[in-house]
Amino acid sequence: MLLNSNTKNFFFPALLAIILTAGAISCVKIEFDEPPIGGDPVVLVPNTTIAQLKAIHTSNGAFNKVTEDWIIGAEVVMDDRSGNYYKTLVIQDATGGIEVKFNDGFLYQQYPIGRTIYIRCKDLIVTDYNKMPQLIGSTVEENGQLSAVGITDAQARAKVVKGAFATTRIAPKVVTLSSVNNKDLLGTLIQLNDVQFTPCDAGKTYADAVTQFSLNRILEDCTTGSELILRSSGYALFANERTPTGKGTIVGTLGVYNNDYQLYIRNTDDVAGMTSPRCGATGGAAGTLTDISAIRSVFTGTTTTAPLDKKIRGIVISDRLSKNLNGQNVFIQDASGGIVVRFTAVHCFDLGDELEINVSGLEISEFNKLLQVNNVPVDKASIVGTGKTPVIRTATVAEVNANFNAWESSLVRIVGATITGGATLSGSHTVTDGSGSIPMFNQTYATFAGSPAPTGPVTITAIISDYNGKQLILRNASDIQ
Amino acid sequence: MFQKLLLPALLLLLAQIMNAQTVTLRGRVLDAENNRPLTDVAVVVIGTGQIGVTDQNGEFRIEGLQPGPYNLAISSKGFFPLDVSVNANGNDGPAVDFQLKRDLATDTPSTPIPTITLDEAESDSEGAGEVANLLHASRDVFQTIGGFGWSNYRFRERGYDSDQFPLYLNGVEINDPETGIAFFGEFGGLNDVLRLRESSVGLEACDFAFSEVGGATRIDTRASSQRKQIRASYALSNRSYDHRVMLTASTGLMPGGWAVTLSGSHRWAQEAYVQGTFFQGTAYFLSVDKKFTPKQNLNLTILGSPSIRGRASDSFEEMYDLAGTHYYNPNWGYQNGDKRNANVAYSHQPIALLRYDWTPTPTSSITATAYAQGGKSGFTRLEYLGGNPAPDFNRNLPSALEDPEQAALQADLLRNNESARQLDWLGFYEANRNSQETVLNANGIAGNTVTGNRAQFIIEDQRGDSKEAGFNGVISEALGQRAKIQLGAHYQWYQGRNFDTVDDLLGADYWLDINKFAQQDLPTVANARDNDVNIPNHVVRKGETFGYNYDENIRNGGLWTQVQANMRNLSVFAGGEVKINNFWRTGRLQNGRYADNSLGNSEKLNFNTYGAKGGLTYKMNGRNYLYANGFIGTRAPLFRDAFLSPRIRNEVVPGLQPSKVQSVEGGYLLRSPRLRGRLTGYLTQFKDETDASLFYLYSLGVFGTTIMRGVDRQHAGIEAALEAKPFTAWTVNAAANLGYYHYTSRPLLYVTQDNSSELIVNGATVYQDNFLVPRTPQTTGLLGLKYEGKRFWFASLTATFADDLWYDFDRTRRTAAFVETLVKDSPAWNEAIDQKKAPAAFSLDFFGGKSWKVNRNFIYLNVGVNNLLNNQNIVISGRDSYRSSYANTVEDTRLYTQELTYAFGINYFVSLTYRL
Repeated sequence: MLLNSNTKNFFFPALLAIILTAGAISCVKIEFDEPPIGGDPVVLVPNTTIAQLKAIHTSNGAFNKVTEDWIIGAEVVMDDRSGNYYKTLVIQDATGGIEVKFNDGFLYQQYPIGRTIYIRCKDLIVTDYNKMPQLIGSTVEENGQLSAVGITDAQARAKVVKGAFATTRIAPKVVTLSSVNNKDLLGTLIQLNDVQFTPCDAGKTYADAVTQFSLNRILEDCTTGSELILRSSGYALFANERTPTGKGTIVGTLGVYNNDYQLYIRNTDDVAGMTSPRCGATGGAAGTLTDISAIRSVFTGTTTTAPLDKKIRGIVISDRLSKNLNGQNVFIQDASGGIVVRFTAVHCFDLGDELEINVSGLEISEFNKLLQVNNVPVDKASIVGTGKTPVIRTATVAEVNANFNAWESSLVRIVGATITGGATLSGSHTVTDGSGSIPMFNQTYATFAGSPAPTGPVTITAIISDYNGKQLILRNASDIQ
Repeated sequence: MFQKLLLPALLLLLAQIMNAQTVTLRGRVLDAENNRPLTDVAVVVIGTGQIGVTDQNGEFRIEGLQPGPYNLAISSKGFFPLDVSVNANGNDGPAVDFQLKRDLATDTPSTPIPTITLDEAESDSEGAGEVANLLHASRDVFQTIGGFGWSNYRFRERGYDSDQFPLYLNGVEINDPETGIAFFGEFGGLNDVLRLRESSVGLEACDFAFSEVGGATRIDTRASSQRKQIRASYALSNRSYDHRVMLTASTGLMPGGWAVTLSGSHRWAQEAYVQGTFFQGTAYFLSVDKKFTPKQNLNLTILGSPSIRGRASDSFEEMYDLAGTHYYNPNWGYQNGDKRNANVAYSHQPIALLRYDWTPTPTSSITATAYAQGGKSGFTRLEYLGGNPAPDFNRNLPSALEDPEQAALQADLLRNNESARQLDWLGFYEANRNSQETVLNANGIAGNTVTGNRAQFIIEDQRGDSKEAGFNGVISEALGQRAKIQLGAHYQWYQGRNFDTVDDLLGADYWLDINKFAQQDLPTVANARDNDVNIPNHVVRKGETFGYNYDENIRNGGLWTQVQANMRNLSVFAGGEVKINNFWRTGRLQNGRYADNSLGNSEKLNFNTYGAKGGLTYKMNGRNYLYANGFIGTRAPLFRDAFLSPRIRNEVVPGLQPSKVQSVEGGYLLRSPRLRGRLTGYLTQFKDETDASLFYLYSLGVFGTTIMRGVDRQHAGIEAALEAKPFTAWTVNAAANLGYYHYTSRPLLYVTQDNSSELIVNGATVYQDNFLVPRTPQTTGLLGLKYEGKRFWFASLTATFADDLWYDFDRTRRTAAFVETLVKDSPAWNEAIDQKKAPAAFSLDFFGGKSWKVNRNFIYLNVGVNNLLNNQNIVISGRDSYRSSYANTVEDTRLYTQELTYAFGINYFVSLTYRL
């Protein structure tokens, strides 16, 4: 018997009453609706154009405060989503464009590309950053010099009004490379047709993502030879991606740094049109692929020419950046062997690039006993891959000496080697292991020439070369481990 | 059946005669419900002025009586008074047992802990909901007075962390094995049925477990121990919730040996004391007893307390000033006109306990409990791709702006525009809806292209679920007349599941599970950006797991024993424990930055630890006691302190080892009917501790971990308490704690961040020798006055004082590397390394109650009003801010801010109870 009848009569109605009451009044709101999309975006009526705004700034470096109740209305054409721009937007109306500098980042969350914004300009300041027109929030004096401060959160809440998203976005203005150096185009979206990156800048990273340094890559057209800098931030999400090797259309906003006009892309969609074959390129894909060893075997002791319609493909095993070889030379290696290619000009091919070179009819000769394809125009070569790792043959010094001619211009690794002949790596040395010895030579102008030579046994990776005699050459300092 | 319960309580016997002239009356007072000895019970021999007080074994002696019949009045707080007749005839018989019946109704007003303190424990704004030592319901005068009075200041007894105050439910330790903390939320709202508590204080002997240096508390949930009653109550408050309804029914022991208790409650607030905080909790409790024989009882208890709350966070003094209130809360903003809180904590971790009690012989008893517990818990927060959305993000504060004009503008904005001080929910939705991005090879599937709005802001849900099971047993055996021994064994199996999920995409289509920093820092390492290399470019939808996912596996076991002996004037005890502590991490994601050290099991860590303690109590007479106790032992590191970056990888803190604890205490106890007091000195040393804390690196926008190795600290102090009844109906309370808790070593510091493969700090020396231990006021005082009226009412007024609450400090600032560019003793130098403390605080609290008898039923009204002076400047926690601004340099003293939490201003808790 749990309860006597008296308490039972009282208990259950009471229980019910309390629970019902509690349930009725205790509805704590925890789940939330989604707010409606957009609502009615604010529309202000601009009374001033960007061109009028920029006009109050007449001398470079000056800070010109807006004193009138000016309202501009413009579309965002560059934001900071990709990280190529930082705390700064580029906005554009029918009369031109301007950078708007803020004090905070992640502007794209509020002011993404394509959004119309209105700015109540009064008390904001028009200035330039190395001649690039900018609208800023205020200035601060440091060491007697005024410097720009972006629009703060408080200013933005009062002055920057978020409008609608453009149904049709501003179309980039098509301009030619030769006419791009035009102040009126600054801060606007432009499109360049039929341009390509110069051979040295095609297939290279946009910027240095490791050190996060910005880099310039050069665009050229095929007709006038005009050039334009494409500048990209090391913080951009695409910094480590590579520039297109083809030719075509590129879109971006135009900026300037003193007298250098510069193009900025929003993201790599802006270069999606650069897929056509390069102009001026005759090599690369042309010709039938043949082994490097087959080209080597063409040489029988006197200068000759390579067969027609042949191309070779190999991985660059020399490091131009360490400057331990002539800037016009490159060593490439494929599964069959290696060879030196001597260009007619300084080239930009990096360690690990995979090249295709049209060798059709080119000179095959020796330079101080080192076999080379000579007088190769740079545009005969094209990059077909990057970051490749060549095969490295591990051998003793005696084996290198024995196979010297067959292994010429390929990589070898010698374990337990001792280097003698100098305190630094510069100049002539001798590499010795238990099996024998071989000369090693490094240019005095190599970047690592001043590094101390190792005193104990080391593992050496080197290119087998010839300068009227056997010679090893290092690619760079990391070849000694 | 009521009578049946009372019957044993009326059993009594006579005292014996010591000699022809006078006799000594001996007896023992027991709790009628469980036959536990009751201490500090006054036994008055009517008409003689002779008074006895029971000791730790419930025994009293009253000497010097003439042989003959006497009337005794036996009374103790929370029990029905007992008037009995005895015959002191000089026969040297056994001591007589008197049983007191618990009166839960009067227990409430005279021991306010059950209603008020539990509520206070819940109000912890960090949501940890720790059961502080104030939960102790001991009869100890210091804990009774001070534990309640100082709880508003987050006073911690002797400055210890809550892992030194284990809490046992039917013999099972419920402190979380990952953190050592007893989380109150697991059984909040069950006040009615968790009243049967017993504590050991400090290092004293403990019958039910091998207690830690802070003592131990046990709660008995057996239905047969609950008073037979039906009880309904409603409470109104403005603290962490506004309303509470609670219903409890207990059958008492019924024919057939059954007893059942049912209890449930609901607590809620649309908005509690702090803006934007809501609360909703429902608790349930079932306890069923079956007494097979008078000597054998089986109990099943199931309880749980699902709750959900919107949390408050601490903020900067600068922001409090701008907001114009110390109860500013940065966690909320309006969404469609309703207040929405981004930081929502919830938990539901029910526990089931099966307990068996057996008394095979009158001198021995066995208690064994098996249990299982499990469930969900977690909290939500805003996660964002970039642009910290916190309205009090320090770069939004005026002090971060160099230009005074701009700083003034920003100050105006924050001061006058409430929405600028709140989360911008609409802005989050807008940003998410205009964020079209394409993910190539999504989820690692070649050619799988996902285009949609990539979330810039989401609500993430950081889960900490767990499963747990274990066993606990204690055998108690009397060794002759004056000694007894306990043997105990326990084992615990625990698996914690920790992972992050998407709770709300806030209008976006997906969240991309990559580490944006790794993408920039390690651009050339394949998959470095992927939090799970097995699902690169992971497109995460609502409810899916992302970020981190790992298990905590913990296996603990131990054996302990304790021997107690009671001589005429001396009680001694000694005890010891050995434990195995085994734990390891199991990673469920292979993180791109630690591809070879994140997936699968970590090294299995095993620590064998021991503890030994002992003590003696010298009884000068029935009213005056001297005692001294000591403890020495080792403790295994906690799981959360053992890994360098537990969310991401398996790497163990280098040189991990057990810490060492030594403690001594000694004091004086006074027990007389009109005067109860205690004066204790204590000295405790913790050595070689490892201490990790997870924190949010605002400058980098990621979570990081700081780990210190070789932390030594010393806690020394004096506790004093006195309860006096100078006149009938009046009680005066006074208590003080004078502590000095400080660090005594220079530990090594390691700092990791979740997104970097490198240690930010690798073994730097932290110059914190002589810094003060934070998180509790070290100096406290209390003076209280209580009046008990004749018509079943009482009122009390208590003045409390707290000082020397030191702020937790940023260890990275107390290193040589941090100060190397600062000029010694310059303002910045001092700001960077000096430890700050809260101003001294004073508060006045009222507590009162009245009861009425209606037919055979009772109505109770209790009113508690804290902080009568509405002092809104009482800091109850503070810490150096980890937020740093790009605008500030180390020379800029504005960089060194603290984040503070303030005690509530005037606040109340009123409850109305109907009992039948």
